[in-house]
Amino acid sequence: MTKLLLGRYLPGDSWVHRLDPRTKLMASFYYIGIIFLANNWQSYLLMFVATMVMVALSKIKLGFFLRGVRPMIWLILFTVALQIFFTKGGTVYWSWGWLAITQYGLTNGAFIFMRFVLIIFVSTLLTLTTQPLSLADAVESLLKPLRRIGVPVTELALVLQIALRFVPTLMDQTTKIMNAQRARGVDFGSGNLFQQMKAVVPLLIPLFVDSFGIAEDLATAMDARGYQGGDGRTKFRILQYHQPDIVAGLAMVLLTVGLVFLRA
Amino acid sequence: MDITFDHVNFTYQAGTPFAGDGLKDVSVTIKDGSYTAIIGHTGSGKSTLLQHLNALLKPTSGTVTIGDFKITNETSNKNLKPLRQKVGMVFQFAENQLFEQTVAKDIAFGPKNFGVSDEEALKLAAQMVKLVGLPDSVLEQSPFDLSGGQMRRVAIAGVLAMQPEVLVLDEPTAGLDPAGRNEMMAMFQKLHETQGLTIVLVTHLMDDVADFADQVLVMDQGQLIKTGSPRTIFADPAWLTAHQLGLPKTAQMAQALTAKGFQFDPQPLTTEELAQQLLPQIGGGAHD
Repeated sequence: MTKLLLGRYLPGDSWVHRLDPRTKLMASFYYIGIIFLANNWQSYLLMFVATMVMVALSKIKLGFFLRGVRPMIWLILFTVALQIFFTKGGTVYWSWGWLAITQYGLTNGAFIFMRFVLIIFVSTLLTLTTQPLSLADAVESLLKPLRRIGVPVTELALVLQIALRFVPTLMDQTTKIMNAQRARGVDFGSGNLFQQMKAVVPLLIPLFVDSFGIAEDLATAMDARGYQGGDGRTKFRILQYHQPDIVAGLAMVLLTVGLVFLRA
Repeated sequence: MDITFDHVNFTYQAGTPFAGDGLKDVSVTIKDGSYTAIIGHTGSGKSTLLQHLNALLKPTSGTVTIGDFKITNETSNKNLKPLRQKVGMVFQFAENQLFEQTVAKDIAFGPKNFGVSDEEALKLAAQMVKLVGLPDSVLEQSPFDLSGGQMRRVAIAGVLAMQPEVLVLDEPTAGLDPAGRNEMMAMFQKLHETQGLTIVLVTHLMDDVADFADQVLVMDQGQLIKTGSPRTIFADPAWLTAHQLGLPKTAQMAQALTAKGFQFDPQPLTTEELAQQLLPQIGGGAHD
């Protein structure tokens, strides 16, 4: 469980860390959108260089990003394999029945691989440099216009914040309960499927009981401190765009122009 | 069953950027039939040490020997069951481990995992409920209908039902009322005396250390910084304060009285010792 890198914040004080979380969130989504514009090696090279510049600006070691790719590697390789074997066209290098490795297949496979890796790098960059609570703030701020059509944005954001806040708490609790049940002779992750399912019961029930307890305590504590819903609440952390955010936005525009220019 | 730590190091999340030190070069022996207290302020590595006692954690380097079991970094996670049966663990807020429909079933859960028959396990449950001072009537109740203190007792009964040779207690009385605390500690003491149970107790209560332990381990920042009898540990109040630890109440009182001209030798650690030394000094005669 501790190997899950996605969603782990690395404290730091780099240029990327200091960007407004809204900028980072929007830029990440935008980047994932425009990467689909790349369709030849020149445009992929541009995207690759741009990503590496972002990674360098975050002052986080490349190893962290590679670690983010690892859990997805089989999915990526599977997709790449499909591309290689089922894309027809160009020179045929090898064929066996209806399977064939062609020139187009290989290039398409390489492009897909690149696309996956870059998307993972950028989303890892977002979560490594942004605190989960800042992200929730950003979501709330960006969704604000939807309030006019009756979407309970602040409540949604609160739910998101509480959920994020309690992920580590529940992970801790899970470890503790697993340890307690292991000490009582439970083997997690061994035996046949039925035995494994049975072993989960002594873990899940205490976890549920505990979560309800936490939820009740939290609700009481919020009531006691006068929480009455989000309307009219002021914020402790006020989000404000600064010069670097404008630079980041311009960089995204330039990147788009470059892509349109380079793509075939 | 002796437990020996030989140059044990433990690193949390070894090999990741989030790695952190848990234990640093810990070497110590916990003798069969002893009552060992582990003290140290929060985050000093006490809980990490405990989890090595039944291989919930394995040392990053070094060896932990528990009876016939040798635990090193390479030890496989299989075949640890016999070890876990011999070392019973009562974790902090042990009531969080309850999950069964009835108290009886929950207490029987441990023994059944270790191969005791259903019938035998339920018999053990009935015995253990009595041992921890709960009425028979709770056996068929849901553990979630009990009070917090009762739930704690059920959880402790669940560990005792495994009939361990070593009982590891991580602040077993935290959050209990004073009466419940005294009862629980007296029960552990009785098990220690009558059944020769080896006890390892993590606690913040120096009174318990003075009253029950015969060996004290002091932890600080993952290192074992002092080992000895309660008398040697409590002999240096300044050192204890420097490590955010204190004296038992009796020793505190003796200290206050010394300032007023009383004399104590040796330093009294239990109420009886204090009373015995105080009596002649305030002119009380021996009761015959």
